[in-house]
Amino acid sequence: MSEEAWHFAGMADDFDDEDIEQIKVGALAVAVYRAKGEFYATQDLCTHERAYLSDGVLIDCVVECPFHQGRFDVRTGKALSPPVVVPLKTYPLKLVDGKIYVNVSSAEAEADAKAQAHYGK
Amino acid sequence: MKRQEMEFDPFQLVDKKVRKQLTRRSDAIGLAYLCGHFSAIGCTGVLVYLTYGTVLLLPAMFIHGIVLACLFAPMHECSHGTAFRTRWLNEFSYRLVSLVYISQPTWYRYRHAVHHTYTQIQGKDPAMVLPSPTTWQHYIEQVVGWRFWTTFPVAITKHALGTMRPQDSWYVPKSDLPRIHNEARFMIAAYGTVAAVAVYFGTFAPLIYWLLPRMMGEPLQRMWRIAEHKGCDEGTDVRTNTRSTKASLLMRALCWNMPFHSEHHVLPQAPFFALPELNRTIGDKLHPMGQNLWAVDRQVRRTCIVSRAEADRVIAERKARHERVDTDWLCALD
Repeated sequence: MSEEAWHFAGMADDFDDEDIEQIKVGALAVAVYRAKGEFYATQDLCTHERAYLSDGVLIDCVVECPFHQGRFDVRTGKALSPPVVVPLKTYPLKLVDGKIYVNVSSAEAEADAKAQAHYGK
Repeated sequence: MKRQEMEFDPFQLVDKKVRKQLTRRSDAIGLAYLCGHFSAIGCTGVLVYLTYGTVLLLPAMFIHGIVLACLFAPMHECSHGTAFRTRWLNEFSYRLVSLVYISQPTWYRYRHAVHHTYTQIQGKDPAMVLPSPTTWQHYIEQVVGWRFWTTFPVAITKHALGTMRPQDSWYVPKSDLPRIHNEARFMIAAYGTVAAVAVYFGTFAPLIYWLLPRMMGEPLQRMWRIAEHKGCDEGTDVRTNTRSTKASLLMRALCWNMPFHSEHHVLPQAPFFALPELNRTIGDKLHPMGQNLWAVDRQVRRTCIVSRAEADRVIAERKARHERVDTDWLCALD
């Protein structure tokens, strides 16, 4: 995990519980969640029909897509119920002095954004 | 399709913080509505019992049927996962209500997801009610539920046999087909058991208290399905392709606020009890609200129905232009 791959993703105090925010790493959209007091990061694009999970609803540790209410566990990315079946990619996250950082290298961001381009098509 | 490719992204209408407020779920409100709905079914069932053998039996069965057919509303709400905050409660209720209402839960969930993606797009929206051109035959078949009662048994039997209608297979992932097949087998077994027990005891109770009233109540549900989209634009802009309709407090309660249908399409993750507030927030930016169900239905009959010859001419023209035409009646089930 290289140092330059850590990207600032916001201040922890700015997140209420069950808040979701989107950050961009190059072309890749990453969703940052505060769930039950803990922070998590996953790809933001739903694996089903190209909607952003950061527009969705977080209940406990489960994010629900705003478009069709497909559900994922934000801790593991696991797809929990139809119409989603493909899991989300999760990204390492750390807190330093109240600041949130997400670990995505430029190459990984480019590759993931490219891999997600076919979702919903 | 992605939200960003829609003619208009409805999320622009509602600020993110307001969305978070309006999408909060509640077990208490969900349980109050569900218990209320089943209590109403119990009361109208008693009415059927008390009028048995009198001339009032048919009206009583009709009232009972309306309440039974309105189970479409909690079924639809649970399919979105918005009826309760607690997931298992939502899923348990979804399966129970679907069984009584007569709908296959996982299949409906996939079909309805596609309806929200391709609302009012002919040949893509599997819940498109009365795609144009509409003839009187189409309208009457839709209102009486003829298409539903003739299509659903075929579809569920196919699922139980491990297959699927060709017009449905494109939107269900192969990995989830076994779940749909098993659900169909369970439902057929459940309905078969009810029939067997009724035959064994020599009773018509399932017919008198469930199936016949359910059929008698169907037209009112069908009219609501028509009012939600028919006569609106056949395009992807949620501000023009969906209609909300004013309804009495009783009807709003029985339909779990689904007459606020435009608002539901703007924010499908909002629970039913948040829709009136959403209407107050953004209602003026959406399709003009229908005055009432009867007025909308009258408007649909006056403005949308054409002769069979005219319908054939329109379909031929569209096909010549290589436009999608829904001649398979994908809408038959919703």
